[in-house]
Amino acid sequence: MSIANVKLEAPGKKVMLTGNEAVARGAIEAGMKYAASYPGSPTSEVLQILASATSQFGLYAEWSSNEKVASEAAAAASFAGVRSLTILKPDGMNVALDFLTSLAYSGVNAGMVIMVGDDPSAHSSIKEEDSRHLSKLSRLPILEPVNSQEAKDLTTKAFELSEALKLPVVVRLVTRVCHATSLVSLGDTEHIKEPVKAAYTEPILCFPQAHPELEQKIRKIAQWASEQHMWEYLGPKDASSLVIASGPCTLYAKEALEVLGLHNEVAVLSLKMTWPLPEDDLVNLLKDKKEIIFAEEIDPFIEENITSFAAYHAEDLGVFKFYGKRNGYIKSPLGAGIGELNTDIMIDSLAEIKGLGRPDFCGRTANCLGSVGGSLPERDRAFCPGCPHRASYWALKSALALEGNDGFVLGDIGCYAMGRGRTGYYTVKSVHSMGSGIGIAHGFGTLQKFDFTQPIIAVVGDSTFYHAVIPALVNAKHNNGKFLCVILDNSTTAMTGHQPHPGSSLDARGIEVPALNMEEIISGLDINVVVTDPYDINTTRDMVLELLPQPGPKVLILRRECSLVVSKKEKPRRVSVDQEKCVGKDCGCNNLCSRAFGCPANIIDLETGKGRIDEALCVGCGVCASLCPAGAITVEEGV
Amino acid sequence: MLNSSELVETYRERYDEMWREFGRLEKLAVNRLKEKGCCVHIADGATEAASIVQGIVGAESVVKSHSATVTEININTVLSDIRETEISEYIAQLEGNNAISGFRGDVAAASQILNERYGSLPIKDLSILVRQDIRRIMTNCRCGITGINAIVAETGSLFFFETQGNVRGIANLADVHIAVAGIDKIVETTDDALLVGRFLADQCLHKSVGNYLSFNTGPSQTGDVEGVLVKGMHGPREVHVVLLDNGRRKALRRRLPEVFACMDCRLCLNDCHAFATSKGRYGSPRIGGKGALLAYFATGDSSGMEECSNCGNCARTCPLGISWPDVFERAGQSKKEWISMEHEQSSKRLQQEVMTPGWCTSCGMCVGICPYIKNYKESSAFIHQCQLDEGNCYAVCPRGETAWSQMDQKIFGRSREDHALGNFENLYFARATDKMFAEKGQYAGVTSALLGYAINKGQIDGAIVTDGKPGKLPEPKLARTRGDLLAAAGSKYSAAPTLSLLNQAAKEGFNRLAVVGRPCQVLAVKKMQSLTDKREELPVEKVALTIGLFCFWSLTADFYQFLLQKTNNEEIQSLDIPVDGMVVKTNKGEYKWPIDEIRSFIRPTCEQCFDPTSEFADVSVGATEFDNNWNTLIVRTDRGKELVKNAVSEGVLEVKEYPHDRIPLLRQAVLNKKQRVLKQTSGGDSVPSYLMLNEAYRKGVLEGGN
Repeated sequence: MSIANVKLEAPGKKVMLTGNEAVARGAIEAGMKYAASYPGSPTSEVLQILASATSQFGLYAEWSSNEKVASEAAAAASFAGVRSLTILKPDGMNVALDFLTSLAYSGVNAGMVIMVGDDPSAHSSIKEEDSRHLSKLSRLPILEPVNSQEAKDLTTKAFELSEALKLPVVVRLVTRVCHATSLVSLGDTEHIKEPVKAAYTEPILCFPQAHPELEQKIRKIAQWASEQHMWEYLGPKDASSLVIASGPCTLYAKEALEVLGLHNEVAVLSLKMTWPLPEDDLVNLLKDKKEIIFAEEIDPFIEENITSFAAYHAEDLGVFKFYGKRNGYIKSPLGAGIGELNTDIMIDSLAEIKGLGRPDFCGRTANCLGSVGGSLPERDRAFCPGCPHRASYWALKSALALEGNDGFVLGDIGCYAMGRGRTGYYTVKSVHSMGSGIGIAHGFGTLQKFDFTQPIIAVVGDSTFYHAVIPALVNAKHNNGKFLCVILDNSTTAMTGHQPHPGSSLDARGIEVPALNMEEIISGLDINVVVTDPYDINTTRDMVLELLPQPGPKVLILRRECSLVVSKKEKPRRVSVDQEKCVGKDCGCNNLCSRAFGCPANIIDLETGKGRIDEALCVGCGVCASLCPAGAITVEEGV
Repeated sequence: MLNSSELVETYRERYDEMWREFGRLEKLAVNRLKEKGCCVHIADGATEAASIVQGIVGAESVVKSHSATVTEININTVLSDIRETEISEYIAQLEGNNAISGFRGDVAAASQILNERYGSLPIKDLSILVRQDIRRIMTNCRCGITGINAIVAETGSLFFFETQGNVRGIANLADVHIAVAGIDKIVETTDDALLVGRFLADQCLHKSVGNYLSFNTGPSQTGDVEGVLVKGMHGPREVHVVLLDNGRRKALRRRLPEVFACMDCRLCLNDCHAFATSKGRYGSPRIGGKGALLAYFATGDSSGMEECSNCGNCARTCPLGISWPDVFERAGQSKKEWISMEHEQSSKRLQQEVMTPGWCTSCGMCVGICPYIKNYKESSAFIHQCQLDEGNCYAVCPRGETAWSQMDQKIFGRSREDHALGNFENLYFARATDKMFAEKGQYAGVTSALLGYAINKGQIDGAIVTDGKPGKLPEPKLARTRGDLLAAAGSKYSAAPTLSLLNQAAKEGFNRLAVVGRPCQVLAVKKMQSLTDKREELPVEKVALTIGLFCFWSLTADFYQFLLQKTNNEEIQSLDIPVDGMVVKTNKGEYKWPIDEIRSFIRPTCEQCFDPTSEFADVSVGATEFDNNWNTLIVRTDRGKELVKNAVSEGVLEVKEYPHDRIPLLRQAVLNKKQRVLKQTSGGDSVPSYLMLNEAYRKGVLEGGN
């Protein structure tokens, strides 16, 4: 795993790359020159890598203010004859969808690839969404790599296909492929160094009459998939049972069959293009098969398409016995279609399908986790030590309690979405999509006619502000929705890894640009805006209480740099607890700093019941010192 | 079969288990009773229970069996025609007496009454006539009222134990059966109910089983004829179960399970001195130690407990060995126990009993001692749960449980004689000789002068006062100098959480602080200083002087909005509320409004206030309502007496005798307020816990005497 490996100009050399790096490399090798994206896990790294390689390979890369804008920008490059890439996650694809559905109709010029990173088990997402439905809905073909090598190869292929058909092509990865590292054989980068001349010569329009042409393209792609062998058949030719898999599930299935000793009995068909299906090949591949087992993440997408396909070809192919998510044979512990698959799940599923006992052997994931799991303490998700969001939520929660009319906070996606959990004192009562808190708050704020009297606060991040909040504020101003918008401004896109946004003074490539000023934008809407430091909890609380009763929308910016950024700098202050003064668990405190405020750097000495500071974690923010009822926590400057 | 001592032991063990699970059993019982078709009524107090019964019965005649709980709710006062069916109560009724514990004459007296009613007949014949009459009464009444000996939570059954048979008579003959019981009668299983029956038979009748043991479960009904459900086939069509709290929950919270263990066998009354000397009325309306205790918890009336002579005979006659004097002591008279109870469930009680109902006075005491309670303008709230089982916040809250006679005992070492002004030594007209104080102060600057004197003399090192410009929300302030005092002088008309500074000042090293506050704030400080437990966590020893202000009400923060509007945002220079209304002077002129216009801004909690003159302060200062050149000064404690004496002798303060003809006016103004508060909360059901008055105090206020 190394960004340097992505940039190596050594054809034939085998290097270790993550799936994300491989996609970036594949795009470079394919002559992609223009990339635009909005950060979102699990694919945030791709644009970061490309941005760092702009001068070496003559690329352009930008962090756009949102995914729709990113897709539009990438499309423009393609229209002008420059191969382009946009990188999304399913939530981002939802945002871009309005444009993408039209883009399929209009078609593109130079190859345009849309990389989507789906997140089964929603490790770093608000929901488990299978983006393949969106691609199919938009009539965009989907390629699904198994590992890093394939991620690079399929990305390159995607550009060829896109350019051949004048249609954007989707490369769909899942989190495990994005983040897992494996060997990749590098290709040639010499040929891409020639200068590219961009020009827009032919109008590219979306109009309904393009529909027949689009469907024509889809049929061509199915043919292409057969010609290009966009599948791999593994195992005995004459097997009557076949596992149809895509992405890493191919590997899980292969391993499970070997473990169960079924690899000489059951074959695996790995689909590299999962939509549209290589139908001509499939008729041959499925002949003489009796049982078909599906292995894919998240939804039964291939399963539905294959079963439908089989129904159309029932005369030739006969009737299959299907085993998949629909009939509950392939399922994670939480149920079919929920969460990631893995080898253990495939072992259990295949054993059940084949009527075998379930093998219990050392080395299975569950066993491995079980052997260490007992000694690991349960840990809640929590804001980082010194995170300004913690202080912000403490102040918001205090303000609402004092206000006394059952006020609540609406949130959206970002680190601060954890405001709905313990670390944010369960303050946030609604989380949906980027900026949705503002629209919802506006809705609540216009319910006065129906005797709605609860005060409303919506929190958004600074990056979210530029992404989706401005139109919602415009609406709130126009329709006079009464609520307080709190911008938790930590000066970065923190959750995805500190990418810049329009309020930053550096762009994606690290080049200095004028930073937008959000106060001016908000003032420009004639909305009252106040800025304060969330570390100053009392001032923040009082400001919230002062702003809440005011009519219409109001904005409070709580500005403090992300504590992860601070922690990378030298620690400026040393915090400590005076053991004499500390009240500990007695009335008048009961471990406010560690138990209630809950900063991970505030710990309890179990022997004395008193508070201490974990200096390895503490970033020296001093908020706990301002809350300590005994004045026992002190902050020394410049230590 | 269990013998007597085994029965006692088994019963005791079961009760010990059951009262600890009371919450669960109560919920179960209510659900089961409802499932079985009973109407369940939950009454917090006696009056509520009586009116529930009245609502069911209406103006009809009603038959009734003997029941201590029915007596406890004073049923006689709400029902017009009650027909007694228990023989001794029947005779008492013939006698023309609604005696609460039946007929108490001898056999001859009983014969005489019966002879008057039925003619001179031998007892044998009389008994037949009485029996026929009672039968006739029972069959002729639609409604009947009984007590209950146990309610079985598991099955929703009512269990009756009796010797005469009239209870089952009513419970089966009446169309509408109303069964009244304290919540203490809930047991878990039918075995527990039978255990109660066995126990009572053994102890009261010296038999292994009583004459009649009945379990009634829901209204009478059958579907035997062609599967058609007939309700009220042979018994009642409606069964109402009235569950009465009336102090029982409070007793349980105070860990006094005796109230639940006692099953009203009344053996304790046999040798009870108080019962004998009161001619059988001790503890009334519910007779006996349990009645006395419940009266205290339900209404704050401790007269029954005070009547107890502490002879301890009850403990010797009670099969369970319950000693009522001991229970009373734990209920409130023993300082140590009382206090440790006060710390229990502190934050929960503060939230439930003070904050949620809106009784918080914004004194600031809890805000100062707890990091989880914060204050903004005039409102205080918990911003996070402290999750401690024990704490100080409730114990020091002026709206937390307050036993006024005990406060007097703790602070003055005696009960009060004057129920209007509380305990005091002297009553003066006073004024500051320092012209600056007199001018800046609301009237004659006495508060500022006394503080200034105490600071000069080093008697105090700071004073917690309330600061604020006229027309602006006041704020707490720690005054250290004469200049600070001058700046803070003058009345404030809304509540500031002044005491929030107290703990902080103490932590900063101030050792001899004065507190100037509203009566509720003085009460908070004095409650803190009276604690015997957990004192080390609080600035108990840091308050050297309390100056209480007269306060009949304070205004909400909304008042300032009103003020701004009414004065057109002019700069407000002074604010005063003389007798006839509010006077506001601004840089442009003067405004006047009748008091009624600002009445809507009075804080609801102030309408509950029982102490307009800071009865527990060292000295109390107020207006004279008469002569603006003077203040009223009430000197209450020795500390106050000494301070005033020295201040006068050193020429800081000038005092003169309070005009005799004005004293009745002052007392009446205070009594009016106190009486209004008492009347608002009459009946005992909705008494806020901070108004725990014994009967002498209650009477003293209501009758207006000293």
